[in-house]
Amino acid sequence: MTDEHDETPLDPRIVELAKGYNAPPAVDREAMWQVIEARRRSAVDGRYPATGSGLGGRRKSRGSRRPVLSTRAAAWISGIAALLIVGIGIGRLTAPSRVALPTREAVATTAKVPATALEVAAAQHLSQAEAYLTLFRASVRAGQVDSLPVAAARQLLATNRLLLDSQVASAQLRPLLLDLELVLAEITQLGTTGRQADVQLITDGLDHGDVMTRLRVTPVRGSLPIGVL
Amino acid sequence: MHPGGQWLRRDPRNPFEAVCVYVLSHGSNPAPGSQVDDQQLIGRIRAGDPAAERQLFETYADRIHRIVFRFVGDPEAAQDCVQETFIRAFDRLGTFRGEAALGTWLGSIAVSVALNALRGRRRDEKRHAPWEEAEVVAAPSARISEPDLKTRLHAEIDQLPEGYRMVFLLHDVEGYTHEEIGTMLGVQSGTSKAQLFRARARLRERLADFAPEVSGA
Repeated sequence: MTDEHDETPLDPRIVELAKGYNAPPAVDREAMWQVIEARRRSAVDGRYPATGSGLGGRRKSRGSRRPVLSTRAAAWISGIAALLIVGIGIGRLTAPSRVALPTREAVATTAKVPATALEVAAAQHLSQAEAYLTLFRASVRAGQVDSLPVAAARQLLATNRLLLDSQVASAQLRPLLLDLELVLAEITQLGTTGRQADVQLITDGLDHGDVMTRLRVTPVRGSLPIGVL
Repeated sequence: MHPGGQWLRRDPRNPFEAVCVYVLSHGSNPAPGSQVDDQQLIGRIRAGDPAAERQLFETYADRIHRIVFRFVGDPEAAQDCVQETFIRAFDRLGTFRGEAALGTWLGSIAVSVALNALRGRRRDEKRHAPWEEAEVVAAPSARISEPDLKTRLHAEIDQLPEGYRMVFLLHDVEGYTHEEIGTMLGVQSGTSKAQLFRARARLRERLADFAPEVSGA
């Protein structure tokens, strides 16, 4: 049994040698102070935030542009998510009586009915995802990945999972939603310090999976399985 | 500290105004870093006195730099961390309630900043390091001399879990108390003691090749 509060010190020679571990060199205080002053002045001027930009110059503070983008995107996506939930509710209420045995009548009905709330929500989700990923690509090109609203990606990811769990995810749509889920999950993992290697992985994933093109061309209408309507 | 115990700095934007940052030799002034001095300093900074901000920086920059350099071990990263620490400190000074000493409070910000920098760097290293580098282990040799001991010791400190390493460096190397370390790391002082115990035990175990001088007290 060991005593967790045994305060027996290490051998003094070891402690002395340990003092050479990352031994701090002389520091140029004047240069550091100038940087601090400059960054604080810039923050006051509103050009960029004082805190966060010093560690590699990539991180932005929460007081900058991000909340505006996030709030707007979050409002849109919350609306879509609400619509989606209503759609799923309607879908689940109507599904059980018809899923068991699809009939010719049911197929014909599917082809004729207008888009359901579920389809609308799915279509809106795809267009929202396309817009977001376009913004992502533009940010990558501009080297400003850290300015992306990650909260919006999280919202999209949540919506995406709802869609995957719903019956709107047909054989056509499901693979796209799965690819989209992977990309969105990777973007949310970027956090506030988007690393170049991660960004490159996401971009490669988008390219190899042809996600953008599929987002534009994959039909949502008619993708509902027979009996949902 | 500053040799001679006194120094003056002129604000380059106003060369006629001598800004006395601090005067150690002045008997009536409290020592920098003392509670009274810190309270005065904070009061002046809150009142918008730029010289007081500079004074705070000059008083604590070396101490903060020592802490962050011990953790990050890179001059450029350490300077970034010091700058970040003081910028955050000036931004948050309004929230400082004086429950801890100003230096300890600054230390807690520095630890947080240094940890973030360190974790970011480790993520990068992990991503880019070839597999074979991950398997490099310092092999104990039959006969080990002092320089080898130093190299091994530093390698073993590197290998310590983050919490152990921080407490070990702050306590055994930098000489902070467990109470101060607890405040800086946001843990109880008992946790700091336990971490230190484990760090020492780990070092003793890993440096057992150097017995008997290392394993004993």
